[in-house]
Amino acid sequence: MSNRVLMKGNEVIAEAAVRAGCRHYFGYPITPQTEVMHYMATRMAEVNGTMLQAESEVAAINMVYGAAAAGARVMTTSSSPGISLKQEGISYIAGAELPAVVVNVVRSGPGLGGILPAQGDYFQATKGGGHGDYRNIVLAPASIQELYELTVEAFNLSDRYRMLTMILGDGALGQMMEPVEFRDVEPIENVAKPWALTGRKGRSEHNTVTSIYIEADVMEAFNNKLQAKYAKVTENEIRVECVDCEEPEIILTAFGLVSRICRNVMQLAAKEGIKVGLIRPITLWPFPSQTYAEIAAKPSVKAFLDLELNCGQMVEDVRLAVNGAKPVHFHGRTGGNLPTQHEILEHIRTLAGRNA
Amino acid sequence: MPQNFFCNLPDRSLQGKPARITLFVGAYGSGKSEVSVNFAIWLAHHVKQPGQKVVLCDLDTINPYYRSADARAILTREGIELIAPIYANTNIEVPAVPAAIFSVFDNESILAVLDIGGEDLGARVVGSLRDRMAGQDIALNVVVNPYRPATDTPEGIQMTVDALAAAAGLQLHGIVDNANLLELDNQPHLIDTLPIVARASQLTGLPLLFATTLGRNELLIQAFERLAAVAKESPAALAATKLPILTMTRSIHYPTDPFALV
Repeated sequence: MSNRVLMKGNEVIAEAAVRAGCRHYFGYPITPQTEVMHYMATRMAEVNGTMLQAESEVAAINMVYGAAAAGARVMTTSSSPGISLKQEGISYIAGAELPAVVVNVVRSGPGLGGILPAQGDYFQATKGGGHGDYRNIVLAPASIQELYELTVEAFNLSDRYRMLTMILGDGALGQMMEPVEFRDVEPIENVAKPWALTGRKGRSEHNTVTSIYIEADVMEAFNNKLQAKYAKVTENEIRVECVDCEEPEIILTAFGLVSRICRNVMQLAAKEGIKVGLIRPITLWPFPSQTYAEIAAKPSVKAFLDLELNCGQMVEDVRLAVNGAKPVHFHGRTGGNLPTQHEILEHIRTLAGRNA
Repeated sequence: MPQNFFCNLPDRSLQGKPARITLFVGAYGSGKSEVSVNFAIWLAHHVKQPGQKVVLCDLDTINPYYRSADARAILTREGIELIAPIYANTNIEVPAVPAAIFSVFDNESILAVLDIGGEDLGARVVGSLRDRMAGQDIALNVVVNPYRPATDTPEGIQMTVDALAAAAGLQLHGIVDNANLLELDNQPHLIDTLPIVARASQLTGLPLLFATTLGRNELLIQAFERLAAVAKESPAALAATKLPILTMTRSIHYPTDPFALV
């Protein structure tokens, strides 16, 4: 029998977390990600862990804060409006330098929005969302297999940098099924957490987890320390996939599932003699700016076409990275709609000057 | 009288006279909706008599996504009537049992397929219709995909079957083997896992009614013949090699399947 099983994205998020050593899950149901909690209800009982349905998203994220402060591997998941509710807690977690994993299975917005897939939370995920000068590591998987691998990696990154890592998915990735193999991505790291609140244990000083600093200079020194850490993450942890970027005419760029539509369109364009490449950021923060700059400098590249399920969010980072070297165009769909292969191909033909 | 399926050798395609009303229940994500849509198409092609019509009822109250109402265009083309909650496939999540469902119990010229939501929670809908189904010619079938985590062992399938039967409040009629990894050629997967499903059939006392395949039936026939050659010691495996096959077309996904991995 094959080692693969057929699983839904939301189930894989939960299974990956358990396999990564997560034993505490706090959540509150919201479509399209409620299956994470459903799966956790059974699975956490099997591994002697805790699955708790909190009274609200605000309560759930503060339970995450508590468990993370005690050194546990902990996760919460939600969808867009629920992630908005968690933002205060996310900022506090960043301020207290706590490792935690938060998954956003994005639905369409703003407001209550709809239950269909969207990518309108890019700004919120990568530019803050909560208050203050902080960053989250943001990972954007494009398949169920990658969702497994990046969820495991999210726990490793969080522990390594004492940061919150967010998985930014979408309603389709959460709901769709694909074969997945639970191979060991890399040995699950056991990062020592001497800072955790596990009792004084004979030490002369007790540990403190806080995000309040009374004196301006101390607060500024802490901010500088955070920024130094974020610079180190930017130096070490950027992940990006480039496809057919050797000598392309047009560069498509997209994150998550939209990149898969792009891959199909690239084949259609090749049949028409248009060389199309793809840049897919896997880390949305830190953003792979250098990759964009290098490819923009290639003489063969005429233009960039950024595709998103929103009104134009990542395209701002693409434009900063390309820095005027080549034109950057945008193609977005919202409301839960997806761009068709045909409409993307039409856009490519126009940019390549191949319209009859 | 519930259905008595058989296969038309040598092509093994599904034959027989099914019950007037066929219900498909199963674990979450077992493929109930895809099997329901394709079974309704099979009814329309092979069973329907003049004066009869085929009706597919989307009674999934569990999940607003990937439901049989997604196949509306295909069903219309096949002349199959769809009864679905009014908000199916919109941004509004109010899964409810449509009142039109009662017509299938009252109108004896209808051949009906009822696609029930996943898990025991979904199967409670069957319990709520139990009074209307009393004395009717119905068959309650359970769809199993042994590549799904909860039903990847005979014991797992047995537990699932017990929970579904309890929630539905009705005796289950038989098992449909929908072994697949959502790939076109599921034949090796079906053959690999037949022993699991055949054993589950023994444990539950429910007959294995038919299996499903996508696309190329002839590969499956060859695989069954190879299996039969080595399965002589195992009555369960040998019986499984005589399993009728419902050849299916995928109907429930995004219209252009834009995410297909190339």
